[in-house]
Amino acid sequence: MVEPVLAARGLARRFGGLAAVDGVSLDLAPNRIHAVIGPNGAGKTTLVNLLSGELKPSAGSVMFEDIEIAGMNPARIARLGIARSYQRVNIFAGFSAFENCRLAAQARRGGLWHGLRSAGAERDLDEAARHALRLVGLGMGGRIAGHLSHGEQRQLEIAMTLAITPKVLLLDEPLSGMGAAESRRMTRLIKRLAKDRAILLVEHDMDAVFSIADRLTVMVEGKVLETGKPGQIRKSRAVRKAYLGGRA
Amino acid sequence: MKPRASIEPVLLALALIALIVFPLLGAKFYLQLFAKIMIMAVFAMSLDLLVGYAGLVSFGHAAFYGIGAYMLWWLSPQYAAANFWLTLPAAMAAAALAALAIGLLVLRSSGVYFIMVTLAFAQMFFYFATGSKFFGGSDGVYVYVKPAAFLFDLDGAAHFYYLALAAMAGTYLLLRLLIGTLYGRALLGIKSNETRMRSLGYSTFGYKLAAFALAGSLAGLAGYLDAAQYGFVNPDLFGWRLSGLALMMVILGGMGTLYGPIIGAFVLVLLQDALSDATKHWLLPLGIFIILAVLFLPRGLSGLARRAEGPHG
Repeated sequence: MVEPVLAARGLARRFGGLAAVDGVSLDLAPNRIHAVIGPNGAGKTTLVNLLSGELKPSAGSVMFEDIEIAGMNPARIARLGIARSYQRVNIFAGFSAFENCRLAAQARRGGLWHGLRSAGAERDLDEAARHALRLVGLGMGGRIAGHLSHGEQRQLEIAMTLAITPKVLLLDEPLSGMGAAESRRMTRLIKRLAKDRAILLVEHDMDAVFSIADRLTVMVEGKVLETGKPGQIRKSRAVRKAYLGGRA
Repeated sequence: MKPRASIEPVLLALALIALIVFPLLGAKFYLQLFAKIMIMAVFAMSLDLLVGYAGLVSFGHAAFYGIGAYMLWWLSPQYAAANFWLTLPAAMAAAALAALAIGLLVLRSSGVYFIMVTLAFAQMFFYFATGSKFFGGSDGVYVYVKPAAFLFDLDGAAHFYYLALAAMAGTYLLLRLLIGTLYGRALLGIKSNETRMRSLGYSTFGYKLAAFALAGSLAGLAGYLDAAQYGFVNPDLFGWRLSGLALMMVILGGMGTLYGPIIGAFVLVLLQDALSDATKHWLLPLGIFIILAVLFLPRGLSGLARRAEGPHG
């Protein structure tokens, strides 16, 4: 078994009396796609928020390589190399797609003082931004982000996470609101991105999930119902009963 | 990206030349008035760094203006001149330190709450100065002898005018350069979408705090010059009226432009001056003017120039 890049143990988050995430453990292996599925309200997005630091866990631990990151703020977690995308498009709408990516690339290159060097001189940032745009197939990115189509904004969202050269990508429903063709393209892209990083994929599109995921975790009401290879999950009686219904 | 063919630098250079030759033609009264306007422009530009670039609408920026002014009084011997080259940096440092301390507290809030807490802090200074015997209470205090600067004479209207002009041009240049750096880009990103900046890995608090401290020290510079010009410092320099006036200059001129607040300062003060000469009820036409300007020029007066440049502006 390979050492996991990111390992969550007994992760929990309570909102008042509600346990949105309740004792979740999972391992992200390098260069693998680990999908998390489950009905609405299962706590999938809360899980992503706990891993990215946007929410502080009520209990449990998250190890990234040898570092405990549970409770760290999102900026520090991102600088360690864990990037996330959002279920709802979350970009700098008034900036060009290129500027969105360049700002992302800048995030990991030194802190505040580094920032006082002249912006014009930073060719490596421009290069990193262009590289990220090329990876997702957005071209030169000269257009204003707010004017892009929904699918393109989703691509941009991914490009921004790539521009910070993450070791772990947390993707929260990257296919939501996409047409069939766009969706296929994005699925291929995610598969390709897993070649050199670990990916956590929260997604509702079952065809996409079962076609690209290496491992699957099924969540129901904040708890892990089952974890395994796609084939095992498909066969699992508990999963079928709780979630997949007659489909699988 | 496409090169931005802009008339902005040309216009600014022309304005600078006009302001340089102005003392050769203008009467002493106007030299003093223009010096006052340029001091206000420094103040308004420092606020524009917060409002227009970091998205921090402060309604208490006068706190740091007042600190700069009171610092000159405090550091001045009663019947001798203070050293300009020592007291000015000291005043700016004091304002920056105060901004750092206050920023640590207020920058945890945002939006309307930020407006209210910054206002509250400035009013705290106002009431403290009003109630304090040491600071002269509501009557204020006097700087009897203007600071000495070796190279020039702050008592001379023309010299002081050029000092104010240098402060304004220097502030503009400093902030313009800062906005061009990676730090400046990050500030704009924070203004646009702070959550996203954090999830990308920016510790946004430090970025905002640095901007708040720098804006505070520049406001301190303006306050110091105000005290040096009039030799009189009172608690109104901490007051919400002054904070509001600067905010109006920024909005009227066009926020996030730096030269907009300069235009705003000139238009607002000159208009105030002309209207108050013409009628006792000058606040009414001034108010109407501001309302119309905000309604019809959402990007401020400087937006007019950009509109004239065409759709790319």
